[in-house]
Amino acid sequence: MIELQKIEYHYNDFKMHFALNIAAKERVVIVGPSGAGKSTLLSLIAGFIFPNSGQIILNQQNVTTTLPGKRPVSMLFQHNNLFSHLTVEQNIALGIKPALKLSRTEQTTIDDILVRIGLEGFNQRYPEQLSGGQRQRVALARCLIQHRPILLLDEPFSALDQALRFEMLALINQVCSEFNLTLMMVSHYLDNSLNHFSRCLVIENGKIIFNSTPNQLKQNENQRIARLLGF
Amino acid sequence: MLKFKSLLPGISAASLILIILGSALIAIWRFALQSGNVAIYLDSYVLHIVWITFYQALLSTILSLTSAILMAKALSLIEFKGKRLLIKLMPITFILPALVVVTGLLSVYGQQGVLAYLCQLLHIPFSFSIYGLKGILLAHVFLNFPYACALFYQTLNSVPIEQRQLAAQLNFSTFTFFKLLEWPLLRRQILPMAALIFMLCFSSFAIVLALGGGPKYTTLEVAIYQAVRDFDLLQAALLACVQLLCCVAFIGLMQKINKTGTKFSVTFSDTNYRLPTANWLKVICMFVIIIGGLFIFSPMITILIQGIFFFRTSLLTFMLLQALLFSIVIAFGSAMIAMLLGLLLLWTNSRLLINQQHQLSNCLMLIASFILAIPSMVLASGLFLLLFGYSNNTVFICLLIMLCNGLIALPFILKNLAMPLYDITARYWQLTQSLNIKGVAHFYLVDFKGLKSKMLMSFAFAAVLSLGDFGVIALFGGQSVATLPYYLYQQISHYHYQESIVTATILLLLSFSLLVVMDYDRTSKN
Repeated sequence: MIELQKIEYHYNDFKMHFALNIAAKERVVIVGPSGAGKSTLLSLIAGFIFPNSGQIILNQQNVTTTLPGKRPVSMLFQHNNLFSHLTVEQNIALGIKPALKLSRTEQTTIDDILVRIGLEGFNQRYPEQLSGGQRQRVALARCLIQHRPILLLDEPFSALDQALRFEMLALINQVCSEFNLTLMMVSHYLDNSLNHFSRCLVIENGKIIFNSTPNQLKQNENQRIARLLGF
Repeated sequence: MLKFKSLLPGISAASLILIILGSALIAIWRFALQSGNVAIYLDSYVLHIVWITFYQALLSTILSLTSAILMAKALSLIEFKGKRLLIKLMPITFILPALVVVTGLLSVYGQQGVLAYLCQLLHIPFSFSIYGLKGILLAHVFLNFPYACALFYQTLNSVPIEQRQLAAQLNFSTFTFFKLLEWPLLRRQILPMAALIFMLCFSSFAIVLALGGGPKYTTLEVAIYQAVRDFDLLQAALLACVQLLCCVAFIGLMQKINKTGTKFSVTFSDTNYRLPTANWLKVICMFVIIIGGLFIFSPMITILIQGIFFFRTSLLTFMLLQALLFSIVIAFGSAMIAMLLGLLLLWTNSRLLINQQHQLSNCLMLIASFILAIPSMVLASGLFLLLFGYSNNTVFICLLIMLCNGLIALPFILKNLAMPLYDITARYWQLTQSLNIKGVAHFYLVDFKGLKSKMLMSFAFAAVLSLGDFGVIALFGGQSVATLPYYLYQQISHYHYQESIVTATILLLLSFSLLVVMDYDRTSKN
């Protein structure tokens, strides 16, 4: 569950205002013009930046001033999700604890998760030996192993080609059901991928101007917003 | 959100450094004033020293730069086997221990050197004396010109291939090509390079002490050293102040002009295009390269050959072995201290930069400039005066030398590691935060694992610097502690030629082996 109460965030002269209520296990896609504040919204929830006023409630806990590592949130970025000097296994292990020594059970957990994301036996590879899609899978594996109920995705598949992107979305959908995750994803695609989500947020100029199911975007009263997005 | 915890390492390291520097400076003045000698010292002698210091540094700089440009241009014009190796090995002289350089030059140009021997064979009278201004210039050019040359060569090579091809189409002569395409690139580097060489020659100590040949050619550093040794403390303090002022002025100047930076890494592109060169020009180039190559490598090779030739087990005295041991211990100790202080400072610095606290970060990094501004002789003599009572305690002296050498190496470590550490911290900042990686775990997992080869390189660099240091040890050395350079200096000053060659060989081999570690690129494994 994600609740933003009257969040104000000022970036130089740009004032953003967010209020939001998302139930557990919802899957939310965030769209809008670039520079509108989509990534800022995720950063506020993840705790990389702190609001000037307002409160952030995640899973009934007030986390407004909590540091990122202590929030029930894991996040996937567009780039630099993996430490390039560590192996796949080591990268994933960091989701369990910030050290590289692994116990037998932890080792098994990692092997299992690698199977689940389709990268069985890739333990000793380095990130640069993987393709873009494989790298994001590894990063996703680490998010899953953290066992945090909220998953934030900041355009993690934008650098991938069309087919791969849909494949990854399907994988995300699958793991969200499996792990009971609440999902928020920033995207700039307005194609069929929207149907994977139960809710769509449109952000413009630091405000949420649309908050409903993706299908509602096609309704007449939302024409202005649809045009803004380029439908 | 900037937390006190992330400020603590940097602040504690910075305060430690400032306390040491401050107490050294205060100690000098306190002793100077206590000595009660109030004669006016700012006499013609001091002015003479300042003038000589300035004059030799200026001449050294001009000579180094001219020969560097000449050789770099020659190298860029012709292709031959072993060129890569030559260019890769050349800059080594830049960090060779000063006294090894002195020994090497003596072995070639000295009264018993190779040149004298050749002249004797050919019945030519040999009247060249390496002592005095000639020797100082020779040594300074030897130290600095290959480094500058390698850098300039790289710049000359950085003219894009399309422009080269265009120049060939337009029928540019070699001279026009240099004037229109290479010179504009080179010009940007000459001033920073000149400032760097000038600064190094200005505060040169060991070379001037060994080759200066008397009070006629004395630099400020040597004068400070002699004043401290003669317990003429007011004189020492005054000279230290003059030196300090000069250094601060130069550093200010350097920071103004050093905006472009003197980053140095040789990159070879496989696709290259060379303008057609006239045959007579090729001959001249070959001549320049042979002379330059001989100048650079003959001292080192002579040392190595003669070192093996003169080597006898009887030369491995207890003194020598002890000096060897002291040298190694002190070199590693200093490198450890420098690394520790450097990493503490940079830890905080990276976090300040990430939190947009540029002003605070600049303040922190100013510490490095402080150390550069305070000449090593001033620092060492200050600490020497402050802790004079303990000067017979071996362990204590060792620690003190480590501290001094560590501080002297610190600016280089900061320069080498500041950007990489900031980059890697910033790059993974959000990721490490969301994974709750911090403190020691962050250092081990991100900084150390990610920058292992760079850190090792900086460590080796600091160790080489400390290994070859003959400045601090000149004051502290004696019965209780003697390092290899100290031992070597005693041999040189007593004209024990053969023994000094053997000692220099050992020192040279030690430095080389550390340099191999430095150059060894582990990252290619991944």
